[in-house]
Amino acid sequence: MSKQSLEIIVNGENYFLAVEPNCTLMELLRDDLELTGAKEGCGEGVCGSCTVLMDGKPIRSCLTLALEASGSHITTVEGLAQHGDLDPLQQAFIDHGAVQCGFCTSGMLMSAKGFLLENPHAGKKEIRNALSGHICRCTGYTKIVEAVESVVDRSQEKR
Amino acid sequence: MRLPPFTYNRPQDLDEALELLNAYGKDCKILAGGTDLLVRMKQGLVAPMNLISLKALSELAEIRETATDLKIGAAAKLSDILAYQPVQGRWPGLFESIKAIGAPSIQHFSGTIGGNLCQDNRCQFYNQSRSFRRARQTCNKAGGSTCFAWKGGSDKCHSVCQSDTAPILIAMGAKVVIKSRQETRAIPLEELYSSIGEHPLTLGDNEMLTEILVPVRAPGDGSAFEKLAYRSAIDYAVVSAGAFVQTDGNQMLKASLVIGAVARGPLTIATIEKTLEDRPVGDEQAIDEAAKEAMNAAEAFMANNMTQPVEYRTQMVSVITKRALKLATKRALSNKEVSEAK
Amino acid sequence: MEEFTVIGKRISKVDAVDKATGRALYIQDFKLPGMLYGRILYSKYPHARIIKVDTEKAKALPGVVTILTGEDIPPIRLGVYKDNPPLKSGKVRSCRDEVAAVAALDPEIAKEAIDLIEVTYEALPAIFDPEEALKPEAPLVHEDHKTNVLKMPWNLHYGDVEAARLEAAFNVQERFTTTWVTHCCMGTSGAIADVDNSNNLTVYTNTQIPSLAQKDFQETLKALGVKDRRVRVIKPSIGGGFGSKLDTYAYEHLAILLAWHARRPVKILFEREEEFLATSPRQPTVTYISMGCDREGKLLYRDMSMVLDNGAYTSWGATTPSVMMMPITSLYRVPNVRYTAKCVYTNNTYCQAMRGYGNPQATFAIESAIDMLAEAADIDRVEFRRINSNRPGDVTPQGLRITSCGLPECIDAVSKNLDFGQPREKGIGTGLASLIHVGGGARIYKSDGCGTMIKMDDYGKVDVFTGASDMGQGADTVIAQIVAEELGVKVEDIHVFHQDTDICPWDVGAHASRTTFVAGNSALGAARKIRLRLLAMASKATGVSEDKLVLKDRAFFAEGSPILPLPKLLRSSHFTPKGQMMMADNFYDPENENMGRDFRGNMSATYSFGTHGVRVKVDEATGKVEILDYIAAHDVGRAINPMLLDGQVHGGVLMGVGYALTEQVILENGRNMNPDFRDYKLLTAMDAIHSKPIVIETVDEKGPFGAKGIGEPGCVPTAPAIANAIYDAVGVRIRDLPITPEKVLAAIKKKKGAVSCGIDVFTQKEQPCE
Repeated sequence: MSKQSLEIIVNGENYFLAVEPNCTLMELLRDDLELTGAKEGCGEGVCGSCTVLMDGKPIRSCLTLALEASGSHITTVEGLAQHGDLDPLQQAFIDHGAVQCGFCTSGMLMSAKGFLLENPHAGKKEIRNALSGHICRCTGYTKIVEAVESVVDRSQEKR
Repeated sequence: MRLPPFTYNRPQDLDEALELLNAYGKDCKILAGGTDLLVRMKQGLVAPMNLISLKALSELAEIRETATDLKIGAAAKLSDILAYQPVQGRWPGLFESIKAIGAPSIQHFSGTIGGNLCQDNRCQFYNQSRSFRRARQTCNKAGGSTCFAWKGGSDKCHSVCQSDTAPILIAMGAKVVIKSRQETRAIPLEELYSSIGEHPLTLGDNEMLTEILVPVRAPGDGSAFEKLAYRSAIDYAVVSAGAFVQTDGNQMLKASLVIGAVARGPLTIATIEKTLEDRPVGDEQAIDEAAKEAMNAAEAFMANNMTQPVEYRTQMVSVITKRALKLATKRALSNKEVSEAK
Repeated sequence: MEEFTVIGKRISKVDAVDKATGRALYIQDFKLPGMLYGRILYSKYPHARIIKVDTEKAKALPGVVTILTGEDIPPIRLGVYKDNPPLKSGKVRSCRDEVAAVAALDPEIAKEAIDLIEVTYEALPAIFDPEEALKPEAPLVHEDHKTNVLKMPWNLHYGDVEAARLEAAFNVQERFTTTWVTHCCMGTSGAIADVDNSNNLTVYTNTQIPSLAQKDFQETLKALGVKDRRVRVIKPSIGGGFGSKLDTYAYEHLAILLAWHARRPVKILFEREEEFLATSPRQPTVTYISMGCDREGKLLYRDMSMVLDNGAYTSWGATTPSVMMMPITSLYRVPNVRYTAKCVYTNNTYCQAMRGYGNPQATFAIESAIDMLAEAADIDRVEFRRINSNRPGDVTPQGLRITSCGLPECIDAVSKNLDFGQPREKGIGTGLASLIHVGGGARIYKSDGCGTMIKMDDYGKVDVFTGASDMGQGADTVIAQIVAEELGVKVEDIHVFHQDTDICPWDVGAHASRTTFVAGNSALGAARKIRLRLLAMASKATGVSEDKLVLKDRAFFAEGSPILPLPKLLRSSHFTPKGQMMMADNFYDPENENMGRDFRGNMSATYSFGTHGVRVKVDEATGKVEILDYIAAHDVGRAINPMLLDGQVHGGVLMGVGYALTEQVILENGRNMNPDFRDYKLLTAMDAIHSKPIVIETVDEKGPFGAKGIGEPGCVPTAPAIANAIYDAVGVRIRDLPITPEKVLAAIKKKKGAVSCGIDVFTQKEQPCE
C-alpha cells in the first residue's frame, strides 16, 4: 500500500499531502492536520460526532476516505469562526444552552450549518429531521433544536 | 477504527471503471457512498485488495425522466433523488423509501441508490466485530459452516436483506442496467437478488449496476412504502413493504407487493396479484387476505437475524402490508389526472 | 425577594465557547511524547478456566513493547467488594473479563497483537439468571466466596407491615423487572498513565471521582512496591458521565501497569464496541412489591423485595439498594415499610452507578403500583397522590427529615396540565409519577465533603479551585455564578479549575446530584470569607460602615452609588506595607448522616421532589408508543441557572424515555448482542419529545442560595409515568422494562383474547391467551 497524493482545501487552506488509501478523512483531519474538533464517537457513521462539511454538505468523516475528499473544500468546526468572530450558529449554541458535555457539539454544528446553507428558513420539524443522524446523550436535543431555530428566525427577519 | 489496507482507484469514466473491474475481478469492491462497505471493512467482514471509487463518474449520477422511465444513475446520491422534483409527486413510494434510509445527514449526502440496492445482507451474529465473531464458530456467511440465526443451525446463511428501496422499486416493476466490459444487460430488479445469504447479489465479479429504470406512472396507479422501525431515524426496518396497485377507480386491476427485512432478498408476494385482481377497491377482506398471504410467505424465511423477536416481526408483516396496500390504493384513486398532468 | 445579579440568570456555560469552537480537549485528543497505545484482550467465554495464555506470537510482532497477563501483575483488587483484579488469572467469570493487555507503538499493532494472543480455556457451566443463581445447585461464580449471594444484606423493616396488611382495605401485589441500560457517554472511556523516573504517577482520565481515583491508583502503585509517591489525576473535558465514572475501571489500572513496565506513557482508549462491552451498565432488578391503603386511600404499608443481578464483580451497582431505600421508605407518606434486597453473582456484566442510582428501578415499581392501588381503591390517581404526598416537616420511617418539600405543588402543576388541553381519544392516554431524591448531598462515605480554594488577583479576577467535577452538566458554571454573586463580580471574571488533583482540593465525587449543593456551599463559604475581608477593608478605606456597603458589579456601592471600584481596593491591599492576599479556603461537609445498622439516618441535608406527566399514543396494531406531550415539574429549591437546569431536565427526561421504551443491553448467555448505536436504540432528535420543565422554587434553607440537587431526578419517574399512560390509553399494564412494541402488542392481544398472543419475550415460547 503506497501513499497517494491528495490536494485538499481545509478551512480555506490548501494542502498538498500524501496519504495512505485507507486513511479516513477523520484520521487525516485529527491526526495529520491536528484539527481535533471532529470527534470519533462510534467510527461507524451512526453517532454523527465526526461530521464535517464537504463542499458545503455534511458528511461523516469517519466513513469517508481522505482520497475521496480530493479536490474538495472541507470545513471543520475550527473553520466556522471567521477572524475570531463566532459563526451565529456557534453563538446560538452557546446562548441557548445547547452545549453540555460538548462531544457531539462540533458534529451537530456542522450538520446544522450545512442544513441551513440549503434551507435558511427551515421549521422545527425539518431541523429535527436534519439532526436526526446525531446522537446526543446530554441535552435531549431540545436546546440544540432551539439554537438552530433561533438562527433561522434571524435570517428570516433580514429578508 | 482503522480500515484495512487496499489500493484506491478513481476512474475518470465508466469504461475505465469497467476495465479495472475486469482486471481486478474478485479482489475488488466498488466504493460508492461507503456507508455500508466501509463499516464492513472496519469490522473485518470484507478486505478487498482494491477499491474502485465512483466519485468521478458523473455519468452514473444522472437522474432524468424519459417517456417510459425515470432513469436514475446507480451513483445518484439519495439526497439528489429526494431533491429531484418529480419524485415526490409521482413516485411517492420511492420518495418515502429513500427518506426512510438512515438519517439525512448520515446517509443522504453520501449514500447512493445503487449502494442501497447492493448493500450486503445483515445478521446480528455476522455484523459484529472480529472479537465478537471469534468467540463463536465461523458462520456460513463468514466462510464457515453453521448459522446461529436458524434454530438448530443450517447449512445456509439466513441473513436478511435490509435495502429500503428494493421492495418498492421491485413492486413498481423497476429494471436495472448491469454492465461489464463485455456486455450490457437490463434485468428486472428482482433478478439482481439471488436469495442466497452468503452472496445475495447475482452480479458477476466483473459487473456493476449502472442504472435503475422506474416505469413512468399510468393513470390509476399508486405506490406506497411502509417501514416499521423502533426509532424514526438511523434504524433498520423491523419490517418494510413496498406496494404498487393499478385500479380503474372501482376495481383492482393489478397489484404487487414486496416485503423487506424478512428474507434473504426482497420477498415478492406473488400470490397477492391473483388475490386482489378484480376485487373492488376498498375491499377490506381482500386486503386482509393479502396480508395473511404475505405473513405466511414471510414466516418461512424468518430467522433470528435481528434483535427483535421473530414472532413479532412475522406479525408485523401483516400490519405493514395492509398499511402499504391501503395507502397505495388511496393514491391510485386520487391519481386519475396523472397522464394529463404530464 | 432578594435581588441577585448573577444567581437565577440564564448564563451560558463557561466552557461553551471552547466546546463550540472545537478547542476543548477530551481524552481522545491527548497525546504525550513517546506515548504507547494499550489494548485489552477480553474473555471468549462467560465462565471458564484459563488453562494457558500464550503470548509468544504477539511478543514477536514488531512494535509490541509490553504484554501483561494475569500472572504478570501483583495482586490488585478493584471495586467496593475488592473482588475484581484488573487482569484475571485462573478463571474468567464474564465475557468482559480482562485476560491480557498489550502496549505497542500504535493502536493497530496493539490490536494485531491482541489477535495473536492464544488463550486456552476450559469452559465451565455458567449462570445468567439471578434468581437461578440463588439456588444451591447453581454454579459458583467465585468459589472462595462460597455463595453467589453477596454479603451485603439490605433489609429494613419499620413499623409492622404484616399488621398493616391485615388492616388495609385495598392491596396490590406485583412483580416488576428492569434490565441493563447503559450510559452511552458520547466520549468513550480512556486513560493515559505516565510514570516518571522517581515513580511519581500522572493519570489523565475521564473520572467523576478524581480524589478517590487518586487513592485507587495509589493502591496500584503500592502493589507494585512503590510507596509515598505522588499520584496526580488530570481530568480532560469529559464527554458525558451519568454515573459511569464513579469507580475506577480495569483499563485505568492496566494503563498504569503497562506504563510501569514500559517506562513510557501508555494510552488506552475504548472504541465504541468496547465502551458497550466493558463499562458497567445500570443495575437490573427483579422487584416484588405489595402495597396497601385504607378506605380513604391513605397508604398503610409498602413491602418490597428485590433480587439484583450483580454480574461477576462488584462495583457501585451492588450498593444501589442504599438509595432505593429512599423512595421505598419515603416516596409518599407510608408508615410501615419493609425492604430486602439480595445482590447475586452471575456470569453477566457487572453494574455501576447510573443517573438516579437505583431510584428509577424502585420508582418504576412503586409508581406503577400506586396507580394500580388507586384504581383498586377507586380513587382518582392524582387525588391518591395528593392524599399521600410528603409535606415539609415530615420525618419518614427511615428517618429522612423532609425540610423544604414542593411535592404537592409539583403534583398540582402536573395535574393541571395532564390532559395537555387535548380531548380524550382512543389509543391515547395520560399518566403521572413522582419522585424523591437526595438534594443535599448523600452521606455514602464517612465524608460527604468538598473543598474550595479561591484567590483573587489585582484586577478582580478570581480563580476558584474546586474539588467538584464537571462532565458537561455545568458544575463549573454554577460554582462561578455562586462565587460571582458573593464577590460582586461577573461570571466572566471567574475561572473555575476542576481538572487537576495537584491544584484542586479534595472531594468525594460527582454523584448523588450533590455538586450544586455541596460544592456550591463549599465555594460559597470560601467566597464569603473573602467578601467579609473585602468589606472590612472597603469600610476602612471609605469610612462608610460595612452594613451600608453593597458589593456588586465589581464595585462597592453606598446609597445606590458606586464609591470604590473593587480592583482599586484589591491593588491597594497588595501595594501597601503589610498588605494582604485575597485568598481563602473552605471545606464544606453537609449535616447529613450515615445510615445506621438499621439503615435509618438522614442521608441528605435536604430532598428534591418532582412529578412528571405524560400523554402517549399507542398504535394498537404494532404496539408502538408515541409520546405526544411531556411535562416535568421539579422542586429544585432555587434555580441558580434556569438554562442549565432545563438542560438537566430535558436530558434526564429523554434518558428516562429511552429507559422506558427503547434502550436495553441485550445479553445472550452473558454476551452483549448489541454493542453499537444501531442496535442499542438511543432516541434521535426525530424521536425526541417536547418536554416542558416546570420549576418549583422552595428556597431550601441549607442550599447555596436555596438550591437543591437536580442532576439525576429528570430520569427517575419517567418510566412509570409512561407505563401508567399506556395503561390509561389501552388498558394494559407492562411490568417489564423496556416497554418495547412487542411487549405492548402481546399484552393488547392477551387482553383482547386474540387467538395468537405472540411470544413471551422472557420464555421465548408461545404464550396462551387467557
